[in-house]
This record gives sequence, C-alpha cells and structure tokens, in this order.
Amino acid sequence: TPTAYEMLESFHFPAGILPKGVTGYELDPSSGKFSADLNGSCSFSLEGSYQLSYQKTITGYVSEGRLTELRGISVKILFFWLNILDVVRVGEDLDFSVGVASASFPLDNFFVSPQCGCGLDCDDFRIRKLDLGNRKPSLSSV
Amino acid sequence: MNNRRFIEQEEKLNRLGPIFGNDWHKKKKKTQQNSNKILNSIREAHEKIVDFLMLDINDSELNVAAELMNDRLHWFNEHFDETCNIQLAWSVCDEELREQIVKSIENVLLPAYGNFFEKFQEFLGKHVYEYIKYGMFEIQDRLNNLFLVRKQMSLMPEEKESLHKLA
Repeated sequence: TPTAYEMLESFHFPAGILPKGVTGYELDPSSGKFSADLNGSCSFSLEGSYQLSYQKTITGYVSEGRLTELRGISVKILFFWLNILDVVRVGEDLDFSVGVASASFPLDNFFVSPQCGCGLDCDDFRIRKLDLGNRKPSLSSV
Repeated sequence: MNNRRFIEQEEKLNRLGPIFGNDWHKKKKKTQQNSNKILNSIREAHEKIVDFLMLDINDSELNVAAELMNDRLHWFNEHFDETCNIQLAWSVCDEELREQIVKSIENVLLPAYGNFFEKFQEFLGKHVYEYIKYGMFEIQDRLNNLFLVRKQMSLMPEEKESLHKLA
C-alpha cells in the first residue's frame, strides 16, 4: 500500500507538506476524506522562514491539488498560532489559507519532509538534499 | 511538455477569486474563530513583546546597565527583523481586520519600545543613536506593511477541469 506521502503526491502535493514520522493514514476515495497519524505532536522552525506545528492526528479532505477543512496543522503569524484550513496548489506554488490570511510559497520549500524539532536543519540534511532531483512530483501531461 | 506549460500558464492567467461553495458557511465560521483568536491573543503577545524590552537595572553600575540594554536591544532587533520578514509573506483580505490587527500590535509594541529608548538615552545621552537601529516611526512603518493584500487567488476544481478540457 502507498505511504501517506505517496498518497499526497498522487494528488500533486509535494511529500514535504507532511513531516517525517507519519505512522499511518486512512483515505476514503469516494469523498476524499483522509486522516494521517504521527507518533505525537510535532513542531519545528524552518530556517529563515515560519514556524509550523502538527498535532498527532491530521484530518481533512484531499482532491486534485486541494486540501480542505484541514485540522491539526498550525502556523505562527507574528505572535499567534493559527490553524491552516486550506492548501491549494497553483502552478508551482502552494497557497496556504488560515481563513483571515493567506500566503503563497514555492513548491521547492516542500520537496523534503521536515523532521520534528529541527525542521530541515538536521545533521543529515546534505545527504537527503542529494535526493531532491528524484523526489520532484511529476505532473501528468495531457 | 507543451501541454503542461500551457496549462500552467493558463492557471496563472486565469486565477480567479474565491467562489462561494457549499462549505462557505463553514469557512466563514472558522474565519471568525481565527479572527477572535488573533484579537484575543493580543494580551498574550503583550507579555511576550514587553518582556523583550523590560530590564531590572535599579542597582546596576552604569556600564553594566548599558551593556545589558545593548544586548536586549540587539536581541529585539533580530527578532523584530525576523518576524517582519516572515510575515511579509502573509496577507489579510479584510482591510478593516488588517488595520485592527496592526493597531493592536502597535498599541503594545510602541509604548514598550519608547520606554526602553528613554531609559537607554538616560545612560548614553546623545550616543544612544549609535546603538538604536529603528526609530519609532520606522517601527511603525514596518508594522503598517504587514499583511497587505497581494494577488493570491485560488483556482477552483471546476475551473481546473475546464482547463483540462480545453487543452
């Protein structure tokens, strides 16, 4: 069976939208309702960027290039933690919405799954960076 | 490959604003919850911000106090720079809410910074300007640039499907 990361990639999301350590997931193909489990809550700061927090269970609906009604993912804006509600892929960017605010980040930010506690600034970052070329999601040509 | 590029360009050219769907009411409720969360968090933020600029220097010697203040100021500047740079990526569409957020942050941050500046000036006199990176108006200008709306709109699934049909 495919991993949670592969499931997301099949909907054209980069694997790095989830941190390392997903232990299992469920997906209802008819509705797109999904649930993914981590060992525990997971927070990290991406260097020079934003702080993210994942709860033990992440739920929402997934369809082609769209994650909606998300629960369990928070981002820090100024001094506040806000829940990310929707993520939409637009070309080579990901649009994140917290309802009252939204932001767009390039896909490149999400090709590597961050590690709980240290994000992408881990000892083995260089080794994994070499694999970037092989991990790019592929768009189907029409 | 040409089809892929065509679709990507079409997506960018035809980015459309949000369209009210079946989940509009749910989103509206969550939006309000997040709005309240922002505004209710001002009190927490107050304590965090003021902590950056608070000093207990009643019995410190002159040079020790100045060094402590310089360290605190340096740390504040780094944190302020990092925070503003991160938040430039985010935009709030509701202009009234955006102004409310920025005003709330100003009401907390500017008085604390002003008090810190005055204390610093007591120790350093005119030399204070060699250490201060931001004046009050510069702080205010940076805050007023936060959360401005940029052209970020979502492509609804229906629109994307129609694009695929066109291709």
